[in-house]
Amino acid sequence: MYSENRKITLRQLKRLIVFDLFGIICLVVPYVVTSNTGYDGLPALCFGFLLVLVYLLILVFFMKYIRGSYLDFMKETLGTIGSFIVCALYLFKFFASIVMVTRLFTEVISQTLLERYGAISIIAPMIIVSAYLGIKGCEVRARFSQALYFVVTVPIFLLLLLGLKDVDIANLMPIFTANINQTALGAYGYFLIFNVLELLLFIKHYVADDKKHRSIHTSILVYCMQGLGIIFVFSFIFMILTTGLIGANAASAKIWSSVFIMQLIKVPWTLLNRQDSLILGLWMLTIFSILGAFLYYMCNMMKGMFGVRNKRYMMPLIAVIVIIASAVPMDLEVYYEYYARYITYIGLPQSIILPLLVILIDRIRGAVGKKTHNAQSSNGLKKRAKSLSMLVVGFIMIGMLSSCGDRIEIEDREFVQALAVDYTNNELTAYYILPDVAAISDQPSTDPEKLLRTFHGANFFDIEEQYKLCSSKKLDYSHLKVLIVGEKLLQNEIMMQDVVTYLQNNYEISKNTYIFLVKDNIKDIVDYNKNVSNGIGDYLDRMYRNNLVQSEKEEITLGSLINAKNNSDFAIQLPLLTIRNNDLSINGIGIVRNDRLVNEIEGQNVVYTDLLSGYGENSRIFVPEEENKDPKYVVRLTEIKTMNTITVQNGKPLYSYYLQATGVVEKGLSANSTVTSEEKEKQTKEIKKLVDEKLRKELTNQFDMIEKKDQIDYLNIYRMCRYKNPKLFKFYEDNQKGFLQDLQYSISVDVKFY
Amino acid sequence: MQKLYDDQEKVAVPIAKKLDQNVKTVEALFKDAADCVKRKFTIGGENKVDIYFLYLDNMVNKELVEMDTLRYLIYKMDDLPREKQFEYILDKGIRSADVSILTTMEDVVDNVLSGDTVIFVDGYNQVISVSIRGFANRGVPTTSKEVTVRGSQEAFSEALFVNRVLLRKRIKDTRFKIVQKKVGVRTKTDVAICYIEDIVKPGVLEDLYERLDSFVIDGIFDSGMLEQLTERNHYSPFPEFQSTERPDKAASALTEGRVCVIVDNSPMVLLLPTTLNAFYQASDDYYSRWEIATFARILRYLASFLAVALPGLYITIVNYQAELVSSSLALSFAAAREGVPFSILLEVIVMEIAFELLLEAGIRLPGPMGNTIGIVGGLIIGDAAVNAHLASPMVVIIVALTAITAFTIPNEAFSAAFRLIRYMIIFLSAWWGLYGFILGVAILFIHLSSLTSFGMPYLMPFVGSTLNDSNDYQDAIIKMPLDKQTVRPAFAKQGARRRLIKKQKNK
Repeated sequence: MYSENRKITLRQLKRLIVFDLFGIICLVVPYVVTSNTGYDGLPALCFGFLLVLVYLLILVFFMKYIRGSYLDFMKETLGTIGSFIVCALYLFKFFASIVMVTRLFTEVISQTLLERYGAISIIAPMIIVSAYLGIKGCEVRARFSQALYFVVTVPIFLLLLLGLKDVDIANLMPIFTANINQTALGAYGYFLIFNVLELLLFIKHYVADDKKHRSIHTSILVYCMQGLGIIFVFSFIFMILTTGLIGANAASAKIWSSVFIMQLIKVPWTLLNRQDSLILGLWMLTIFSILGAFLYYMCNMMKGMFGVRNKRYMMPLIAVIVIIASAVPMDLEVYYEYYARYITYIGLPQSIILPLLVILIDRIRGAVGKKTHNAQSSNGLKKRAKSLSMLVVGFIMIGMLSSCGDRIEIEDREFVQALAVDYTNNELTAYYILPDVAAISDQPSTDPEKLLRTFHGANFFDIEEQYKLCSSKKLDYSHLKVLIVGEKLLQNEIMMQDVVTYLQNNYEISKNTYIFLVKDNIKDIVDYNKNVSNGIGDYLDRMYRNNLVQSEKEEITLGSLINAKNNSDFAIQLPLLTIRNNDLSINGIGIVRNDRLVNEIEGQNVVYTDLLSGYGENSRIFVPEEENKDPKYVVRLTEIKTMNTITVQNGKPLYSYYLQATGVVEKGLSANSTVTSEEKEKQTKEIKKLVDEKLRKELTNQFDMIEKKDQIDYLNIYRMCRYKNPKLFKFYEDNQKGFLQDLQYSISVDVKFY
Repeated sequence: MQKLYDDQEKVAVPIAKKLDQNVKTVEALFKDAADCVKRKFTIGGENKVDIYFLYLDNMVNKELVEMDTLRYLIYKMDDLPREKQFEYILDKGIRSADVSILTTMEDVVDNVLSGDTVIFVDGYNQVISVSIRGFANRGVPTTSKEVTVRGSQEAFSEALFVNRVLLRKRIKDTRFKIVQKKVGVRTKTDVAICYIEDIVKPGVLEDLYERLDSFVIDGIFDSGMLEQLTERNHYSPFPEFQSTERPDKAASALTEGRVCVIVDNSPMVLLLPTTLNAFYQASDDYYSRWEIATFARILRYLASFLAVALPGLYITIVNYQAELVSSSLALSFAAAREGVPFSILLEVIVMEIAFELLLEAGIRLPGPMGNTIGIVGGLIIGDAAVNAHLASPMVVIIVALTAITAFTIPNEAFSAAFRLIRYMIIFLSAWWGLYGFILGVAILFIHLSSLTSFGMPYLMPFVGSTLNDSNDYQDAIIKMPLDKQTVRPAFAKQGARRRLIKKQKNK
């Protein structure tokens, strides 16, 4: 009659699987796979998924022979002592898993959302809420996952889709190049994370039959496969995004590297400044489900093992033990290594051996038709009151113990709007440009000198310490809009690497912060802050968004710099900031590779760089271009399409570039009504010839000068080779220099005029 | 004299055959009852008999009792037979169809207290009860708490019989049943359980009867008390019953297979089972176009989220995750907070409590003075507090917005739950920022997931929608056009869920 039957539907089972697995798998999948296979992780992911499906088939096969609940079945088959031993093995595994998940998420939270908080004050509420969910039982857990299923998965999925457009394919290619051992290890690593699927044996008893014309086990198999399919899609996209956006090196550097990409994805038309924290928050909702599941089954097992009448009394005890164990100081990577070893050698084999053993003993004994009983306890009023009061008391205690006094009010923070960094006199110099908060509240403007704070130090940590000692407010990077890097810093590879690592690891700093390069005196640029009403940070941010990105220039952000740091063959082009005629302007680009400034391009040449890089919409070509002379024709290029191919000619790589665009003559075309159409056509032909020639010449010159002569792969052709011609890339793997030496090129241009 | 009441607070004295003995009992039972009208008469012609008239003043239609029944008994009983006088009086002397025979003194007392007139006849241990009730009532009032733009403006009143009529005139079906029970040893409050026989789930009715029989209390004065006595989730701020003052809403619920409980002297009736979704459904949703109704529903869901989350999110942003909002907004927050002597937590809590105080004061004060409180509290004190830097303008905006959003939910009891939970989210957000906020959301959803109302998951149709082949989604956040809602919600019993059949046109 009622739904109050302690049963879950198959749809709920599917969503429960997605919820239980999503949080943990998507968090670690790029690390697990790339640390074994490098950039070529996608095939490993697919093979790993096949292993998961086989594992699922085995588990469902076992289910057929388990009567009633798995715990009761164990007790019935093995007796008290036998089931005690088996339960102890499961208990240890669940305990190790719950500690692993808790530690993992605690580290994520402590490094992203709550930097100043101790581990215990993060772990304790997490476990208490999970215990609250666990104590409510399987049906409530299923409802919880079902209710929040779309709330969690849809925003994350949409965000991931938005991120796909920014993926650097070169970071993922060439595919199928990892050796069998690497792929097998990656696949096995991916498969190992799914070991929690073992919980299906315990949950099977609660699954209600859908009354379709198939057995309950077939239904469970079908729905589980659907759930796992969803998880596979998510992990596949996470893998593409994490490796594609930050490179395999960075993906394998941190166990939870996939969180990092949330900062890199740009969401158009969003109400939020940065969505990464919010998405992380949604993501966190999934952990309560898996932690609650572990706690619930641990409670059930301990109840049976120690003959406790009510499992509710066990829950606080287990929760306290888990909190203490999770708070033991230990490096996460080290713990993960131990955990992975345990799962590989004991955890996973036991998940197959134990149920097999129980079933075999049951078959041998021929124990058929024994009735099991529902072990569910009724929900009494007093029990509800107890669990609620436990929750409240727990929270109050943690609240009192936690360092909630550490929070800093918004008015006590010093938001940095722009950060300029350079390397002078063998030390790092940082200029912090602050916004004028007083002006916002209609008070007299603050003295511009006070809005600029300068510090010198050996590194950023040193500077931060100095900042603490001479400021009444907390330094806050969460609204940093632009980062200005001095040329001297870029000439010092080690120092630059230190700076980028610091910026990468500082979660407060948005990875979508725009970056500018300053060639001469960075102080002049910083001092320009006085001349701008809303501060130089806001000025440059708007300039970039309104003029540069709109005119289809490549967007260079901190994320690009980090990508370049993690991929030694990747070059980025930083906009060069100068002061010209007392105006702040972008007058060129600086090419940065391996955290070093390797070349600069200035003036009109930047247009050709943009065109060679596949950008440059609406750029203007002046023909003929002579100094101090008014050009005869001005042509604006629209509908730009570029085609790049890398082939092999005479055993050497050949880079073919083809530019197609539509030219709009803005100056020089006779507008007189007496001009006939034939004359117009003739004039247009002449302009086309001049423009094509000029473009071909300039593009060739620049390519020849930088790519060939200076051997600087500023167009990332070598990386392009990864997906344009993987065979060729394999030939020149780890030999970029040789590739550039052998590189031949052909440039063709076709500008159409209508 | 025999003890009047037994251990279960029921009248223990039986009805005697001798009238004098009954009179003594009644005198003892209704001693010092100024409103009790009782008189002994002798009626008949040749054969006479003593009768004893008893009713409560102003609870009966005095004109009808005196002029019709009593007068008739006194003047028209000349041919009273020698034998079977009781039956004769019942048959010929009472000019009303609503007559019953009572056999216990407990029933006599119950009926008199409920407004019936009882007549004792000498020589018989039975009593005639005539229902000619006529106590004062408000009639059919207009809605004041669940106002709608379109649709009926009738509301339930305190009189149970009026409320019954309001439902009966909307559901003209013999399968519409009204079962009446009495609750309260002393108040003997009438409780009517209304349902449509062939739609309601029998289990729900059984559960309700079981719950009603599970306690003995001296009295209940409102449906709210009955709700508290019969609910299972005592420690939840969320109501297990839906209360309404609108007869159309109650009638609509009945046709969906729900049960309606009317409590005498209460203008609010209870609907059960209920779900979270039911609280977002307003009556005029069904009278307006579906697009408008859907838009209103989305607004209500959004409003309830804001009612719970807004202050917590504000604290999170201000104290922890300032990067969530744009730089200009974050700087505005910072600028607005300059000079405020309290922490953001204290500021928000103080302002929230100030608002609750205003609300409470506004309710308790008479109408015109209540408005003054709103102006003085909301405008003058609020403005003064901002000017004196006791509160930042942002917090005033947040608290005001939260208040508005909380009241867009069309059920006061439900929105009150959100108002309460808001404080939990505020504290958690103040302690742990966004992490605390998420913890709060998780606790809220775990709690909601664990709630059921008479076996129905509280989060239906967002959970367990397969119970009714996902048809309940048609009247959830998106309200589909009425002609698409062919199936009753999962409240109705299996096999009785078809509610709309479109007739084929003859070509």
